[in-house]
Amino acid sequence: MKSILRIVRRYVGSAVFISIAIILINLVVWCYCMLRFSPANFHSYRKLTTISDQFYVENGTIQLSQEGLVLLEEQYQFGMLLDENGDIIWSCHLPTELKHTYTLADISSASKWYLDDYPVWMWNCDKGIFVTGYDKNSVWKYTLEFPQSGIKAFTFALPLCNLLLIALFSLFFGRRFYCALKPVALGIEALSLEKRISLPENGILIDLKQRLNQTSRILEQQKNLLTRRDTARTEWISGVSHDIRTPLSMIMGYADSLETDSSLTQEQAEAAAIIKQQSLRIKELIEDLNLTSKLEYQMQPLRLEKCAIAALLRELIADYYNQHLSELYEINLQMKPDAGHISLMADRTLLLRAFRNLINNSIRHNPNGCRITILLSTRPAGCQILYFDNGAGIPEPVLEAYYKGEGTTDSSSPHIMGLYLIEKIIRVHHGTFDLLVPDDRNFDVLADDLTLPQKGMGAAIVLPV
Amino acid sequence: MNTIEDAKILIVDDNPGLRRLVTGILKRDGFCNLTAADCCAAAKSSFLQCHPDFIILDIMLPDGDGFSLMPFFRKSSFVPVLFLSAKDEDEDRLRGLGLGADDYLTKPFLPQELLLRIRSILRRTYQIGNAETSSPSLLTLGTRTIDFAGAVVTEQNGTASPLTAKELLLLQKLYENRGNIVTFDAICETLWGDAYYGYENSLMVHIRRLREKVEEIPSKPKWILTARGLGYKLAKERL
Repeated sequence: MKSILRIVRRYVGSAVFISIAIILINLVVWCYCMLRFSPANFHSYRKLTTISDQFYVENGTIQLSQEGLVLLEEQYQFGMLLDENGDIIWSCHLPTELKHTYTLADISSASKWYLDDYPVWMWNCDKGIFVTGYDKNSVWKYTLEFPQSGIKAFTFALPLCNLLLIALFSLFFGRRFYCALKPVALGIEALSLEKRISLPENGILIDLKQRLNQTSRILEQQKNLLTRRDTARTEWISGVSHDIRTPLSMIMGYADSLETDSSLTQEQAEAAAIIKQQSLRIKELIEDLNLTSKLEYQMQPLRLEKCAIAALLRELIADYYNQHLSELYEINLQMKPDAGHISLMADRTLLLRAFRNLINNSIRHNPNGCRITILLSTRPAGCQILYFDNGAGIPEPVLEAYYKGEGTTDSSSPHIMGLYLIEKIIRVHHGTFDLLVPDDRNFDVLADDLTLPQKGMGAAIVLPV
Repeated sequence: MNTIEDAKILIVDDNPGLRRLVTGILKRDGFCNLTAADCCAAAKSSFLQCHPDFIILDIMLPDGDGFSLMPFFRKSSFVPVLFLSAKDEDEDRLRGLGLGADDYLTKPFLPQELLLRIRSILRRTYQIGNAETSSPSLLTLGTRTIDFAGAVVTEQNGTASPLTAKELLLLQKLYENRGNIVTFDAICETLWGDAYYGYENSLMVHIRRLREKVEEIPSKPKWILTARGLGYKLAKERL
């Protein structure tokens, strides 16, 4: 809505500017015309007197000197001299229809305007009334007369009224423009928020409104299509994972029975143990796949509760030790001062799942053992959990695939669903997840005064409070 | 029912392979009174006929769902029920537990986990089991004997040291989870309730005093061990 007000402000401003500019241009043109077509260019009383001075009487008749004649022909198209009775006593190039006697009324009328439609100028000289003129329709003559008070009002009030009118008209049309544009702007805003719109298809912007309504319908259809597709995909994954569970239970159950069956050879028992172990891995993968798909399509309800992060980490690590963690592994929890009391709103189960995935990764990829350290510290906006182990580290192809991002890898790329799942869980908590490698300079900064392993994998998780 | 293994267990699952597997797992672990049902109707009939001491219940059954059987069971009995289902949604888990089930285990499961859960529920419900896991009144740690009922630690020479209420609670909590690490948080919650923040130092004092009473050399504890940064553990066997 701010942008629409800006548009209208600019619209009104432009209208005022254009109006003032036109007035100024008119003034300039008017001034130019006044100067260019000033009467001084084709007529002046000084010339008229100069010519009239050239009259003289010879043998009882009025004559114009040669010099006067030249001046007359240069300046005017005809000339005549009238005596006191209105009779022509001298003339030069006088049109035939003007050759007659003039009354006082003719002279009075012609003194300001025309003489039988011929524009004329008169000068009362000592020899008579000297009249000069031009052809018909060659000069426009008009006499302006205003009362003194009127001319003052005209000079000051008219420009002011003009400006006022310009402003009023601009505001009026600006408002109309605003009213016409407002539903369109609101429609675009609603579209950007993925809301359905239905604008009234009328007014000067009818085409635009029709297009916007059409766009909204198309977006709605696509959204429904995507939702249906996402739901179908999630339900399919959920269904497959559900259907796999029962047969997998039997594989795990019977493999467990065989593993402990004393009648089998050691080799056979080991094979059964491998089947059980791999079945557990499939179980984990199914759960990861299911959860990843639900998080991806926002179908996993978040059960947020106040969660003491230190207590959660302690519970997690204690669980590993209580479930007979191999002596090859050590999980160490360190806390910065004040970090022990950080509480945040989180889905406990999901957070535990993310940390379990990290620890399980370290254990799975370091069969010869490793030391895992988890460092909890406070951050201005929340808490930071720094995780690292001193194992073999993340293989380069896995790192590459991870940094490329989900959906960009092909079937030959390493599968890193576990890492994506951790990232997704942290992201739904509005936190950040970054993989770190020991030579990463940030690693030292984040780890503060901690002695870091020379190799291994690391991750920095920041969660807001 | 004299022993846990005497418990009559009803297994309700529509999958014959899984019924056979669960029956086999239970049989191998010593349970012999086993009945199986493949649908809701059969489950109701078996329930009325054999009055089971424990029910393993699947959710998705051909003629209904396991949830609908819960009110039927609960109408006449408080028999412990464990849901064993492929449905892993939180809603299903909450619904099952909300209907009064004692536990919810999702498939696939480890046989050992199923057995441990069944045994734990049976022990809790019917107050039977071995001396190690039931709540005894006496506990021997090396040369010292702890009398939980009397809240006193007696040394070999007969010297008795009384336990404070907090020390008794603390020792009971560790004993209930013997061999496992109990986090600071879990212990503090037991001693001081939900609002336990700020009691960590008090816990250390209680641990120190308890060690003075139950350990021969309190500075080198053999029984109440510290899991650095995590909590404490009551050692399972004599070191």
